[in-house]
Amino acid sequence: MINVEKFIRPATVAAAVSHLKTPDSLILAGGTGVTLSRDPNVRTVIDLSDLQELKSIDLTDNRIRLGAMVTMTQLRHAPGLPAALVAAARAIGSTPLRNVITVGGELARGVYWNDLPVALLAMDAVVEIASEAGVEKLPIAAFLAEHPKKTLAGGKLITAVEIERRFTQVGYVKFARTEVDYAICNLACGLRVEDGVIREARVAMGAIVPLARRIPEAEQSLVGAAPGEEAFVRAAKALVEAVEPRPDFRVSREYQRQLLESLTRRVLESASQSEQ
Amino acid sequence: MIPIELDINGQTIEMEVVPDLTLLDLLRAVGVVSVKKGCGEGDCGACGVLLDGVYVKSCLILAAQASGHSVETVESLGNVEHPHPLQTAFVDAGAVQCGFCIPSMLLAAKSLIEDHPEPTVEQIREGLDGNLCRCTGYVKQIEAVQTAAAVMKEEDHD
Ligand SMILES: Cc1cc2nc3c(=O)[nH]c(=O)nc-3n(C[C@H](O)[C@H](O)[C@H](O)COP(=O)(O)OP(=O)(O)OC[C@H]3O[C@@H](n4cnc5c(N)ncnc54)[C@H](O)[C@@H]3O)c2cc1C
Ligand code: FES
Ligand code: FES
Repeated sequence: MINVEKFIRPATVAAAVSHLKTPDSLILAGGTGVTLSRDPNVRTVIDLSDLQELKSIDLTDNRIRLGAMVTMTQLRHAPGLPAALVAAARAIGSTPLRNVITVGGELARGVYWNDLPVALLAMDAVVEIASEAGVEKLPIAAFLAEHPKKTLAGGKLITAVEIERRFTQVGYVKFARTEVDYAICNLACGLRVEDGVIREARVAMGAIVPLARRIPEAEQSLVGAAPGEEAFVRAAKALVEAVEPRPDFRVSREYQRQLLESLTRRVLESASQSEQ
Repeated sequence: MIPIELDINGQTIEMEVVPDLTLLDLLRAVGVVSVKKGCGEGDCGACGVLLDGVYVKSCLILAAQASGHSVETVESLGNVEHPHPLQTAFVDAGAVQCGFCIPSMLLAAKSLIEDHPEPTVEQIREGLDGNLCRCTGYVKQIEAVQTAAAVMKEEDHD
């Protein structure tokens, strides 16, 4: 923030997007990731805090819409949200951080410890993005196919996230040294179970990989199986085989692998005991 | 320089600030020194304030961002002659040792009691999870918050 000349608080999304055109501008949401930035190139800060239209949680029929400026505390306490989403929001930082951290910031930051994107990947969320060109909707897996900085380059602003309640069972687990610490490993899953058979599965993880992503090998091993220990053990093995853990000074690679195996089973078990 | 205007404990302040000034550094510069700088990066919780009533870490808020809003610190809670029930309960329970973490912890407690007038131990632990205390061990504060909540309910205190 050292060379910032203008501090703008736009009243509409359109105004915010028009200011984003200049490459030296930076969006400020909860600020937990950007306040301490010393990037000398930033000249304009676009503070989204006046955009009331981005602050609501809307539940309709089978859909959930989370505005980009919805905080983790809002998610923590809102009625009617999937337990896994609430658990992911609760797992983030501490109360005063959750009071400010936003859905948009969680998606755009792109650090290994981000919890919310992992849960959103397991629910096939769709990211709504506004730019001068209009509004586009990107499935979250596509949104995170590259680092979000790249995906959002060229003046793009996240306006909302939408979730269709397709999965009958969802789960989220975070493993960290303390409740408020960054994840050593986090995992989420979404299962669509019909007539006692898993028809569709999503398994996503963060922390042990540099950026949250789905693990198709684990997902495929679940499809067609009956939810239960046998299928979950198989999926855990498939996941461990598919993932190359990133180096983590806190824990060894062997530890990461063991953790992944037991947490994959745990998240699947917790999902199979949940009702969305 | 960026012009700002904000309300600090009921007093309006107008000034121009450098863009990277945090709310924490602004508060300390204008004499509100109950707000402490521990880590300066969002970990310790010694810098907590109520921003429009919401408990936040002032080291992660820019002064420019706080412009147009109101800030409450422990100075507005009570003083030695007229302590707030939370302050009395913290002292009585022996929840204060060096005191560095306490101003912020009292604000966290105030905010959590507003959300949960009869807080459970679990709700207190969650409400205080952003406040590190290197002295006391986190046990007495829980007792103190429960005592204060009961008193506040009786007195219908704000
Ligand atoms: C001590 C500490 C502990 C933390 N622990 C955790 C944790 O355990 N788990 C976790 O998940 N997170 C944690 N976080 C938060 C995480 O590191 C990021 O800071 C957070 O996700 C950013 O969200 P924000 O709303 O504060 O965004 P900001 O800091 O305001 O912005 C972050 C980035 O996103 C961009 N951005 C924000 N909103 C939008 C939008 N709508 N459209 C486009 N771009 C946007 C900004 O320009 C910036 O590049 C922690 C943070 C701190 C300080
Ligand atoms: S100074 Fe440590 S959290 Fe703000
Ligand atoms: S009383 Fe010393 S840090 Fe809490």
